Amino acid sequence: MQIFPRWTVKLPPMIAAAVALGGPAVLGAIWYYFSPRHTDVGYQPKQPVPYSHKLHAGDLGMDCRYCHTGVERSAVAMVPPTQTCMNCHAFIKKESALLAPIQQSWADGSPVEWVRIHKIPDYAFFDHSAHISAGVGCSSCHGRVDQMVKVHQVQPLSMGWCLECHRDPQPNLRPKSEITNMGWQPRPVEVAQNDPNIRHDVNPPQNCTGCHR
Amino acid sequence: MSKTILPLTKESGPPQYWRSVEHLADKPEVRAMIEREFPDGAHTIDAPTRRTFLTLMSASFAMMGLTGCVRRPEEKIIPYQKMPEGLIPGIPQFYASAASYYGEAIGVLVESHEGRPTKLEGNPDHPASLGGTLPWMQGLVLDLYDPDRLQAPTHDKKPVPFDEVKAALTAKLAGFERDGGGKLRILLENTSSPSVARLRRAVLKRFPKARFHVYDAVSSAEQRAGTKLAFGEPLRAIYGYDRAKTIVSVDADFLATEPGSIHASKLFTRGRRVLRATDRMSRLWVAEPALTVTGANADHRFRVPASQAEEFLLALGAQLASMGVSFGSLQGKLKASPVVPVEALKALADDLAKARGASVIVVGSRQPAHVQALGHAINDALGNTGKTVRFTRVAEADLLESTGDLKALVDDINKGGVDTLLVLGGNPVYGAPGDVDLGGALAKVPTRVALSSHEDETSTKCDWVIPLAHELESWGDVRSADGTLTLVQPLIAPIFDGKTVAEILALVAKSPEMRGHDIVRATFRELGPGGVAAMAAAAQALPTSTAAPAATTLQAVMDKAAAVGLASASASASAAPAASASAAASASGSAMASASAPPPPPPPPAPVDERHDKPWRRALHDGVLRAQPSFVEAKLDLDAVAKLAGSKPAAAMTSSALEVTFAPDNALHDGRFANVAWLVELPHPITKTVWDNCAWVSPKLATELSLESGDVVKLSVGGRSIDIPVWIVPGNADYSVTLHLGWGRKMLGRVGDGRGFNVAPLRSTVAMGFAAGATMAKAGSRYQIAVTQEHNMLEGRPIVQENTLEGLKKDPKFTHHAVHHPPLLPLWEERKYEGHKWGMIVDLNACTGCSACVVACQAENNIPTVGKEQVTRQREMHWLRIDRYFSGTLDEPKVVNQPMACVQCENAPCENVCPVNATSHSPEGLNEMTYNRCIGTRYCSNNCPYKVRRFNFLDYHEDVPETIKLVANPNVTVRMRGVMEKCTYCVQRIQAAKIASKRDNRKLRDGDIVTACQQACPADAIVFGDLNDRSSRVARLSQVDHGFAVLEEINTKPRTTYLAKIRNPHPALAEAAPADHGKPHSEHG
Repeated sequence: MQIFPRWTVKLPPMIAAAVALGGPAVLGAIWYYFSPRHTDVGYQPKQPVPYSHKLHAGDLGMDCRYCHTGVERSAVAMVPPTQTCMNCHAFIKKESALLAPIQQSWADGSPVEWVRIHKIPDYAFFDHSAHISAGVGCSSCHGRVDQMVKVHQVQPLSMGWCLECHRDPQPNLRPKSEITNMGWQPRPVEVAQNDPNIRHDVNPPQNCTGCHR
Repeated sequence: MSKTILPLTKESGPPQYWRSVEHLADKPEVRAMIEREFPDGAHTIDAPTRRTFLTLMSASFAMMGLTGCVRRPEEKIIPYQKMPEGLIPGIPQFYASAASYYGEAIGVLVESHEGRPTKLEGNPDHPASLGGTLPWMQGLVLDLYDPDRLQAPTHDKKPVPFDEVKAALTAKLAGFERDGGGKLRILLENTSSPSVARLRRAVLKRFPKARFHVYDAVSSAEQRAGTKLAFGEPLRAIYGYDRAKTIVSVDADFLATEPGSIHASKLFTRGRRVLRATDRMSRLWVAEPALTVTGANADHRFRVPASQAEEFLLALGAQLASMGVSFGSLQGKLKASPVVPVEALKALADDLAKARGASVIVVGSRQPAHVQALGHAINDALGNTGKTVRFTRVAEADLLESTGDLKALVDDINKGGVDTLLVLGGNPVYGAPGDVDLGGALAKVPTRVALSSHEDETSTKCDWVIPLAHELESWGDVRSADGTLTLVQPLIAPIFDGKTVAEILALVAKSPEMRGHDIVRATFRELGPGGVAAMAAAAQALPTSTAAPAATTLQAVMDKAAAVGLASASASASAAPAASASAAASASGSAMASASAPPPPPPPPAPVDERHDKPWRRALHDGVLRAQPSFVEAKLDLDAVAKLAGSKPAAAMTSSALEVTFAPDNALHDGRFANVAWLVELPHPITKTVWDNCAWVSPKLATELSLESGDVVKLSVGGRSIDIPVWIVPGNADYSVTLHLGWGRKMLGRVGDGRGFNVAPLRSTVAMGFAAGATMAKAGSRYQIAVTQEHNMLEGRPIVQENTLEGLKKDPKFTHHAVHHPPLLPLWEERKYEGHKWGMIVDLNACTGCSACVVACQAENNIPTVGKEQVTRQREMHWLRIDRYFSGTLDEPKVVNQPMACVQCENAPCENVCPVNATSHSPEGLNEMTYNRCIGTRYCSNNCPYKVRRFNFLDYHEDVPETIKLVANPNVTVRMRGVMEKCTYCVQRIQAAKIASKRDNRKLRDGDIVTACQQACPADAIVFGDLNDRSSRVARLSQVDHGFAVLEEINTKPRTTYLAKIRNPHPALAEAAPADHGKPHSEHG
């Protein structure tokens, strides 16, 4: 008497085929879906105030540094205090319902709790000022913020992505005047090399303690 | 597994250097410990039961599943609502302030991250700090965030709002106005705050019959009494250790626990820095009963019991007299004594006689007044007074303790003479000597008010308790030893709504200014430029007149001074008129004049616009009101000294009539820091014990009483006794038992409770420093002491190197042939370091062993404390340890201290064995440790010849109270369990400086990067910098002939190298130089 039914004869080749096809598929899925390129890019949380970078930085043409004042001096670019909003909104759109949280913060002294979008792990220490002084512009990491009504993450901010530029920074270096230019595009190495307006002494660290301390 | 010891040792048998008594005796346990690859218990976990194991595992699986569900936790960015002026988030700010020590100011700079103080540094511009710190100063930030501090005012143990306390106190005090407050008493700690002094006068004006008392368990009252005896008024001696050729310390630990020790360390090392064989070096002679940090640095050390210090001084005087030094009326009292061998005393006297006017004799603050005076008399006879020994007037003498003050208070209470007692600061019930039952007396006081930091021995006995504001959250002012005024400014609003002593006094005095800031501001206005002028004048006016000095005149002068940019205010009202015709001098003149004239009615305080008040802002910014120290000319009253000299001869000492000495703890001082984990876990500089204190006994006494380290004994003096474990300490005077104050707290908080043993009950009002006639009996039990001295031993190899100054002259390169090895060839092509090449030099000759660097490292790098039980398993986490090596005999040991952290090998053995590349090499030569890569195999630690890697066996940051989290340095990762860590050369500081230089488009300059240990060091023993920058200090020091690298022979090429310890023994006493084994290298092949 046969213990196994006849169809089980096909089982070994089926399993072999499944492993052969499915294995790479699973690996590929993990490779893609578990990487920051998928998990982090596109992160677009709801903010307490529907602040539009498109309106302010894009249409009105405000400089990034009007609000993010720490970016040239400090590790953090800084999310502006309520006071910065009120510089204008004490006079403009005072009654707007969208601005209610700002008005309330100004009135009662409580801070506005924004949601962090661009996050790197606690054991990595990124410094905005170092990048600005080297000539890396805002849009290189943050994308076309001037076109975003609601900001989302554009780059993966993974270690591999950081190192791509640290190994070969020149294409991404711009002249000081172009730091906040949102439309600036990376250039081929040959072009960058001959640009007298960019820093040529930039030597970004590729060793661990450059970022991990 | 056991290590094979390489045949590098010169000879077998007891090693030349030893780390402990057991090590010297070559006990089998010690050998076993050295040979074991991992310390006992290093890799055991508390054996979990099957059940807990399952619970843990299922919990972690559940967590694994859960974390997968959340795509990303939402994180908030919370900006300011209104940004403080001048603040840029992410860039720390530094504020100048002061820390009080013995009531004196030490200037500090406090690092603040967005309003959160995280680290303390010495203020280089402040005369009492010169940039250095002490261990407890590094611990102040942790003390600030102590969650066990009192959180709210209480009445009969129930929280009440402060207004209620205020109302009750105000009502109570109003009742005293009728009778002048005869039954009102206020107990203060030692301070030299002009504001407290001013408010004291105001209180006495309102209640003329009220009395103030001052008490601290550790104070310099005897030193003031000594100068009063010798010179007729209390003075503060300031010693010129840098200019002195010969320094004699008599029971004075002036490098660590005495007042002004940072300043002393700075000067002392200046006088002893030897970079070339021709450099001058002072000679330190120490006579002390037990090893101290100072004794450990001595060129010659005598074991002299504290009670025989006077005998020693008299014998020294006699010897000096025989060499022609004239002692006048003291001559008859001088007499020889067997306390020190004659030839040694001769050599010492010879040194002193040759260095007239260039020597220092310093007597410890626990010695009674007449011994202090004797020291001054010898200084005077040698012509040192006014040269290497100078004096300043004690500015706020009323606020400093005089001997027996606490006993007077308790006697009054017992007589029923006290109705209301205000205990403002301190913990006198814990700190009171055994014969003063303050705790019992308190019960007899109807109204007891305590201003207290903790719910402690004192405040629990009081019915009204007000939280005391920490110094880092207070406004205040305090003077340093030389009279310089230093402002204390708050770094943070009082976390637990604490009040300062001045604020409570203002309440008592009904002062027009009630807030800390206004009080200090008003005092500052009153003091005028220089911060000195009006004070002495006002003091003279007391007690007959308590009128405020003429503020209007001073105000006018001050404005004028502001106009000329705060001219150097070098005047003191009473000092010799050495001052130039500056505005300040005229200020003092007019203040004097107006104070001696009938006092004008106090003018109403003029409203001052602070933004335009330059002197105030400048003083606040600098942390020091620039003023030349006003030294006074001291005239010795030799007859008074002679009258008391030798009047109380010491009793003979045997094993049944012992001497006990009381010393402040190196880290905990008088116990005020007993809840600061960093300090409780700081190894004692001499014994390396942590988490406990013990009674130190000499090897001889231990043999006679058959004691072993850890045996509990009953120690009795004058009918009072305590149980305490003993510790055998080399170099202890035979029948002297050394006890450290500050331990054995019963109620304080989670760290300090029940740690160590309170020795204060053995003290008495007449014997605060030491007592004779003590007995010791074995109690039968044993007590486990956690000690780090035998951890991380490096067997038999020449780890530390030393020589005498003479030896150095003969062979300046002696360190180069300590070990003979074949030429060292690299296995691989060696790296070239073309950019920066970081390196560090530690000068063993400068290092005093005070351990400030160890705590500084802990504060800077978020290093956890692990607890006593973990230390006994050798799991302490200090990245930087100070190895203390003894040499010589048990009775007369010599000490070398060697700070040891990761030496950043160029050929690092740890890097080769890491399976995950978590430890790697940077192009600048740093041996990097990347925590997020580490999987905790511990191979690196295993392979590290210096034993400097530390492993997080447990998650030490788990369950940390919220307030303690605030102390963390935001620029350093907080490490998890299972991760290896070690010294990084403060890489966060390196990177910050590099980024700043790039930002400003300039080259890094030498001195831009200062490591935490280097910054904290009061002896400037540590230098860090770029070895490729030829002009840098570190590069120049690396060329010094007597530098050496530890374990050079294994070719690790460490970046931290050392300068050898140089001793300067007297030629007549110098031992035969170490046998010359120095064959040239070529002969070894």
